[in-house]
Amino acid sequence: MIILFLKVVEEKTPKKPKRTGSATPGSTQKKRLRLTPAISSRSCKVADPTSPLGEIRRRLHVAAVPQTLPCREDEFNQIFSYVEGKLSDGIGGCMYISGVPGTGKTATVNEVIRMLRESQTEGDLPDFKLIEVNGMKLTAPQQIYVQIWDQLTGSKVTADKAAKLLHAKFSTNGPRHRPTVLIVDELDLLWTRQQDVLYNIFEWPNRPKAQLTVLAIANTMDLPERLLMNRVSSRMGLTRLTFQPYKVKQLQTIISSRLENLVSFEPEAVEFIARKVSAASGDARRALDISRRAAELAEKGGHTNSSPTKSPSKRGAQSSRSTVMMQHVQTAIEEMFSSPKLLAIQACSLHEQLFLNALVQEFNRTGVEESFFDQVIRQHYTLCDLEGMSRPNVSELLSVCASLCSSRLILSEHGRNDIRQKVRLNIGIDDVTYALKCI
Amino acid sequence: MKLQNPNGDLTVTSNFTKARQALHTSTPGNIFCRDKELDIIETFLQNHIDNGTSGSMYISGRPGTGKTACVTHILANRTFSGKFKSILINCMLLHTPTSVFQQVAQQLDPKWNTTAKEALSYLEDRLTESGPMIVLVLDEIDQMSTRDQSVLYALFELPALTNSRLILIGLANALDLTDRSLIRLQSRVHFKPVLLNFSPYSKQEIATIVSQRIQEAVGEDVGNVIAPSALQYLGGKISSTSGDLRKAIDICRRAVELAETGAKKQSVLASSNSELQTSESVQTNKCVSIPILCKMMASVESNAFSVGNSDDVDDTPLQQKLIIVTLLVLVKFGKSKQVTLGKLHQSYSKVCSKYGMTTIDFDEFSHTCSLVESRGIVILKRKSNPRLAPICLRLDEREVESTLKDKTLLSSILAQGSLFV
Repeated sequence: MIILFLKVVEEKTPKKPKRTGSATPGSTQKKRLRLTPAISSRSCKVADPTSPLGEIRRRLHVAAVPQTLPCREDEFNQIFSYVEGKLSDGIGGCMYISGVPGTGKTATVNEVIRMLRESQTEGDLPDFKLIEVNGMKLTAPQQIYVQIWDQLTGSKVTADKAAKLLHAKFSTNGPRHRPTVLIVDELDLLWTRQQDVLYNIFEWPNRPKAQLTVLAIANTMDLPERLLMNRVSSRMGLTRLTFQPYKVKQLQTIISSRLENLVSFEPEAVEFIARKVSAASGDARRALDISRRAAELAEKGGHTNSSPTKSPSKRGAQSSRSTVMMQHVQTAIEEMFSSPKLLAIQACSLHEQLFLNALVQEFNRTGVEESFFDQVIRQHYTLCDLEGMSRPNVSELLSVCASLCSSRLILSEHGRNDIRQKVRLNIGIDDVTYALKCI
Repeated sequence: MKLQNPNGDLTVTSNFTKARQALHTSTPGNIFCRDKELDIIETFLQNHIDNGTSGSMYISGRPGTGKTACVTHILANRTFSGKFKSILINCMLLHTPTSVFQQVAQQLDPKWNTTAKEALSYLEDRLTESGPMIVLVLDEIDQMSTRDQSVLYALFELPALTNSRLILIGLANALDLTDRSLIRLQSRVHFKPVLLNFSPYSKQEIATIVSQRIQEAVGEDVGNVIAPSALQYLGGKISSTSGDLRKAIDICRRAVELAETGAKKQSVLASSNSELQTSESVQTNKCVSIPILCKMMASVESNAFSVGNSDDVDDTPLQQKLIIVTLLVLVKFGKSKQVTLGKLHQSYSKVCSKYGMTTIDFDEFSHTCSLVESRGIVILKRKSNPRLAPICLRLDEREVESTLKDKTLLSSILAQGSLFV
């Protein structure tokens, strides 16, 4: 098999063997003989989405990289001009970027880097080295030194050693020193009691020869005031940028920019999604998720019930099959926001439901959230009498209570206290009454 | 940075560029307004290096008052008659306090490599040998403090050894580090370090430093870049709060950046317009004036509480607004300042049903609360059971109003406050 492989290689590259053979015959031999694991290729290619809905689903996926980032032009310009200025002036600095999840912080920064690379290849900017670190991916804050050093030079050293090496590197101006852009994502996870890691990250840009630009990204808006020592926040500087949550119009633009040229998404449906999301969090990821789920639902609906019951004409049926309508969005939102707790209550056994009801009654009576088990039993028996059911005994009720506890619908103390244990609801009282009413 | 039209605007923008480059927070080439302190440090070093005696000094001061800059400036630029070797260590870089000895030993002898335990005795041996004086500068020395302060004591006792050739300079923020944590040093006269305090910069000093920096870079009248009145204003503002020069320089640089982009825009606009207007419009926005600085200050000072710099645009999503207002109601009409998340959700549901808005369920609700927390409006303590997690508001009614920019909602909910508790 190996011989075969060799032959194949030689057949494939008929012009090269002379040169490679004469230069380093040993190493090439070794390379050829090495067996590398590989995944067998698919028998047939993954089908490209054929239906328009499939195309929509692909485009609405969070991972699909858009060509442009709509609605973040201002932020983009600010970051770009900041980094560009630093690079062209050959000095360092740091910028703190904050904003709630899903507001496009990382995406914007990545876009800035892409544009910087472009203008660098055009020759407007000096060559720079990019280092990206994510606080989430580090096992300990000190590991950031290892990561940075690894990305700078490609060699692995211990954290202490890396800190020293980095310190030396950023304090002196070597011949091959070039500007560096360091992106630290999830900065708040680098917090330690001594704050030495954060201190060093913000201290290096302040050194005259470092030429280091730090872009620190985190969720918390007032991290410098809340968590950082004076001497750290003094070094961090005041260049800050906050990404505000997206508003209705912006979310609408984001979704429709991904859907351009595809008409099979009702504009009202897009607006509905945008309104729903912007009212709660303004998270673009969530808006995309909902719209993708709605597209999925529309596709499924088109396949399974091919003959809609209500459709008056053939044309109406056709259009509903290939477009995402309001009703799909509605279902998707309900699916996404509905809690499993209501379903869990509705799926409880009769006495479990009665017990929950008894807890609510007991709360109404006393006005205290926590109540004793024996008091709840009394309520439970009254409810049983009202319903005309036989009363369960105490040990049966204890097991009912335990099973509710295990599903975390209620919370209780240790079972050691027996009937004097305290129990409390772990769900809203309105939820209980609502769920029980719906049956 | 380059402009297409080669008229007078080019100099304006290049002045701005030069000024922007000069206003960095790294160690500067020249130090202003610290002549007295520089003098003290220099004479201290001079005395000890020339006479070959050991000594110690403790320099305190708030962040951004130029402690490190002064010491490094002297060591780098001044010449002393005696020979000496300087070692600079930033204690923030050290992992444990005791590793400072190892660090110093390695700096003295690059080949030396043993455990931290032996480092101290090795140092004691080396420092009492004959040789050139050694100036050891320890930045952020308060990082070395342990419970029994053994490391700090050991450090400050090194210069007191007989025949010691160590001159120790410690830098930190705390004014009374030596008095508070190193009480034993007070009892022995020759152990006692020389104390020097860097007071925060005054209004006039900040203005002078910034203008000198710009002057050096631009080489002509500072008034072309930044108005003297604006500098005075900046100095007054900063000195009244922290006296942190880094902050002043940062604000000034950002103001210059703003003015630069303004000037660029104007020149681009003007080039398309008539020539007459060009000279006038550039004239008006030639330098950084108080209004620009004011704008910058406002955007810097605005913390989490005054969300967003653009007025009249309400940024907070509706549900988050409702949560904040409900919390305000609970704090105002309820008994305690702190409520649990479960209780808040209950009241919030009441508010929602009253106003006919969709209620979000508890899991979603607690997620939204954490979003509000990351905007710095509430404090949310994590607990294993989220329903019992306490949450409290960090703003009062007036601040909530300015944050939400939705007076009608707020006042109507507050008016019926007792209903929702």
